[in-house]
Amino acid sequence: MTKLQKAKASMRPLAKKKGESGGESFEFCEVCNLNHDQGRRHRYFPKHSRTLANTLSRFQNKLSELQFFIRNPSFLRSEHAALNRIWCVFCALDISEIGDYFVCGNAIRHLASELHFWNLKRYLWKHGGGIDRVDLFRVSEADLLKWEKGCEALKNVASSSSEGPIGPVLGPSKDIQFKHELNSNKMDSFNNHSISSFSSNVSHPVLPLQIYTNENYGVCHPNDNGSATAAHVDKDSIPLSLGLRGNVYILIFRFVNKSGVECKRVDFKGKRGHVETVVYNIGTDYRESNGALQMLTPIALPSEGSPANVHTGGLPPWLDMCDEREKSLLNFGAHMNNHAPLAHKGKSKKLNPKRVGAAWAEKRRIELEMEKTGEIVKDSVDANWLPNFGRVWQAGTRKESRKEFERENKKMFKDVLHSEASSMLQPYISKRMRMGSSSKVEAAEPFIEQQ
Amino acid sequence: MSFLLNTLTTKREVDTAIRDTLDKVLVLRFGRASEPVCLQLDDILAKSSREISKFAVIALVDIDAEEVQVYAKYFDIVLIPSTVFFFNAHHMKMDSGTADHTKWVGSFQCKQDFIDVVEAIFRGAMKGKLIVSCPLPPEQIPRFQLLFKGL
Repeated sequence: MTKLQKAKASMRPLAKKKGESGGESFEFCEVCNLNHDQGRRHRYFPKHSRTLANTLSRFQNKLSELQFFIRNPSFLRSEHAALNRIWCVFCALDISEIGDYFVCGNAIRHLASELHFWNLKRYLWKHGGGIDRVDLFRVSEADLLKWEKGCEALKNVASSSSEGPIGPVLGPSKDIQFKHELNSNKMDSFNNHSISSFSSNVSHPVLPLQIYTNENYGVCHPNDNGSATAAHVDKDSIPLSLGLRGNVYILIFRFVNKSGVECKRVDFKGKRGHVETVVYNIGTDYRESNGALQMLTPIALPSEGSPANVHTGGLPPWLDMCDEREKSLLNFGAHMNNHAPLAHKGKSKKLNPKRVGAAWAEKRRIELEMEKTGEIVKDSVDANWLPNFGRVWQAGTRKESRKEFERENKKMFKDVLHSEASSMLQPYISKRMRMGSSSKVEAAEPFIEQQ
Repeated sequence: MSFLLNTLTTKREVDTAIRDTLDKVLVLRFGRASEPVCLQLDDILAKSSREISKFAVIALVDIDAEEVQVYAKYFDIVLIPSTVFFFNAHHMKMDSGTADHTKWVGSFQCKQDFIDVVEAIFRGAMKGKLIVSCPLPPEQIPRFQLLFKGL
């Protein structure tokens, strides 16, 4: 039984299970990593579709790198074969490059295989990724044929121009030499400095990578012209791989720089036609491990008069500029002091001009300032001054209520004066009593007494 | 607690306080230091004076002082303690559901009530309102009966 037949046979009971009425038996969704009893409905759930979209887009990113190598087949060095691995989501298997001569060879063959195609269809059907997207995740037969032809051509060229037979494990120096010769006629112009750097490495044996370094990924020190780069290349630098992408020629070296950090130097011919070089620390070599290169944009430093940096022990720019900044700050401070707000306020924003008593407040403030300077005599206030007060039984404006109060005050004052004059109290005598007092005094007496 | 706050005994002092407090709420408490409700109110005023110092000033007026009687009459103060609010020499009224909107009669239940009241007055004054509504719920407002005018 072939692999494909075995796989189909194992899938059949699962297919039967799906045919049952959904919602009863639990099944495991690989996308969501979840046991569910939703049956076929599960693939329409938003979370599932989101997770699926993420998974597929990630796989597609990996495949895009692979596509590059399909169009541009290149040799794979044996010591790096172990590092190149791909996990195929659809088939749930790990594809390694051990035993293969070309970069991503095994992966390309797997993606073009019938088993992968069948698994891919099953996966998309099961999880609802869209059957029409099948071609995105596989290598078509035409592409595979093209790639194989490219590989054949590479092999033939290599074998025809070599001094001796080229086995699977070649001396790396010879490989690089040949690759260089191979590609030089494709170049319009190639910097001779790079050639000299190649030749300097020829005589030295290549050391396989002993330790898989995982240091921080970062640009070490970019160089912007070929002449400078040649000087930086140590004799211990190891050429890694060679590739051609469009009109850009890529050459990667691995070496140990002055500080003992493993660096990767990428020489590539940029758009301007000259070779540019960028040096990286060896970082997460995932990108390197699967053979695909991530093209990063180099930044050209000013070649003349470049200021001292961290490596050469110079001051950081914010300390350099300290003097200038202090001067500017002083000026700023002086400016602020001249326009300082009033001491008791401390608020810089303007007060609402529509607030209660705004006019009074402004007027009073000016008066206070003038009193401070001595222009006005302090507290020349009328003793009868009263504030603006809305009385309890107010009828009319507050001014009126104040005037009313003042009137009442005056009246009261007068009344008090008057009342002081007539302080003698007299008992009440009614008219009858007064009239009858002359005739019937005796009769009125008990009445008065009662009172 | 009245020793912690300024006590004003003359009309001149009250005038100065009213005139010179600019862009801040002036809280004038009319009362007697020996009276228990006044004492409670004074305690609350003293404790919250620092917290509202940025937008309010508190002063105590002794109702027994002679020169202050004109103000007692002017403000119709018949029950103590009575608290009158001013902003930029303008009297601020507050509608707290009682009959008298011109002053706050009685004490506060807690410090926060007082701060809320002063804040409401300040906010209203900054917006140009001469009368504001009380932010406290009715159960926290002391009730009293207003004596008739002229009595």
